[in-house]
Amino acid sequence: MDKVIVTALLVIAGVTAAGLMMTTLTPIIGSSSQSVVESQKDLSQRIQTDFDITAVHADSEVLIRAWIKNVGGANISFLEQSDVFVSSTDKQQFVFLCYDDPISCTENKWSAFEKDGVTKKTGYWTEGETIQLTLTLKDEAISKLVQSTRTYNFEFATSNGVKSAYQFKYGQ
Amino acid sequence: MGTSISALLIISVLLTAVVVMFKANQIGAELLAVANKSTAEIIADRVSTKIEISSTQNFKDSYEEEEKHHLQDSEGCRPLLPGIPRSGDITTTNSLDCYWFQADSQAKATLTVDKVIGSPVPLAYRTGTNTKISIDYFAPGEVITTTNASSKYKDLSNTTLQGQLIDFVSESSTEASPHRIKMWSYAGEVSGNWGGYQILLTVEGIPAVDLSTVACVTEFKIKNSGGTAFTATQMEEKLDAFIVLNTVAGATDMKVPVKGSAPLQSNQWTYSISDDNYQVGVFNPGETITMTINLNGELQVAGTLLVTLPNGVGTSHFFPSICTM
Repeated sequence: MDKVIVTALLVIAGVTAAGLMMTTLTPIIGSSSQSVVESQKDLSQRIQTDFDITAVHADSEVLIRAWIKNVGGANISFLEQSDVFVSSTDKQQFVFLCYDDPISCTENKWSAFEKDGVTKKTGYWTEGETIQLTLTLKDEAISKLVQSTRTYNFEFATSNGVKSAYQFKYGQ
Repeated sequence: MGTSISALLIISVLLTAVVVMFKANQIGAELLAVANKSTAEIIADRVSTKIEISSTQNFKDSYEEEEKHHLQDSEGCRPLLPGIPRSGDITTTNSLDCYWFQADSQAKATLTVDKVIGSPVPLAYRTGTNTKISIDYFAPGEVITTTNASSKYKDLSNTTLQGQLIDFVSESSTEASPHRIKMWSYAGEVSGNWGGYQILLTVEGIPAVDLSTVACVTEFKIKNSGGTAFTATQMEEKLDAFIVLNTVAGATDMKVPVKGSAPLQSNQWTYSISDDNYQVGVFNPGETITMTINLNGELQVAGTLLVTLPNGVGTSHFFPSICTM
């Protein structure tokens, strides 16, 4: 009789332990496998992300236009989360520009347009598409461009960390 | 028995975990493989892409206009500007070419003449030992004649390919009475003297005249000299053309014309593929595109055309100015 009771107790304990393990492990396995897939997906997206800064032109000491072509194998999303910098190669100037959509971004800002330079760029930046960035710098010595004598770097980085730079001079 | 059931359940859970993780890794690896393959194909595509740009250049009407400065002139003269070479052909139907230029009496002017061998005059006419091209100078007021009349001249005889007339100016010219030169053949109108020439005027201390004042480009030729083909859709939607205009010294203006169709509006461009017999509309290797750009309303100055193909490969081409349409 005692043996039967012990056996029954052991069965109950075993099944309970197995059940507990299943309920604990299953979501962990699910989420970890999902994170593996997601991270590989992000990595593959990053591998396929590539762009080419075709041209940069300073229209004035506080206004720059840049044309960038998506030459990768994937559409680029979250354009507004990209980072834009302008710096002088002699390290005397460094300007981080904010995306002009939030009201808080009033100076040293950038905005994105379609190639025509008129239509505001929204949605995906598709493969082969060229967009125009318009950069407006603050009218102060530390930000605005110096004509001819200084060389500048225009740097652009997408939201997934792919970046590129282009050298230009104001007046050339 | 309970232990066995538990063990079985635990083993099955662990096995499932292993299988699920393995599958996740497999999916991830496939994603990476696809991405790598796609990127490698894009890179290979770009490496094999190459284009060359050339342009069809025209001189403005005012630069080609012949003017007789003297009533007895046998031929009208066209302007010759410092630093801008002129070319021509001396043949039985065109036995002389006349050019005029302005310079003061102190100017140290040099005229450099080169024989052009071959086309458009057949090479056979330029190989004889009597091959001769002559340049004769006429001071302001002197009459241009078809005969031998100048005391300042240079003959390029026989195998001499280049000659110079140096510091020959001794009086100042006026707008009505400029310095003039005659390109001809002193040795007479025989086939051995037919042929092309190029003449260049340089004046010490005077910079070359900007080519954009006399020349403009009517169309650009873009040759696909690589190994990549581009579909009509790609060309229509994803080909970029940028124009940098050298507006004044040290300043530029960037124009971004958009794709249009004939008749072009201002700030539009269009193209056609020459001899497009194979895969009509596709810009195949070896084919050439003729691109026309309407920049009416913009300054007619020198600049650079930047062309970027749909895959991002691009090149640039300098031009003296773009003709109005």
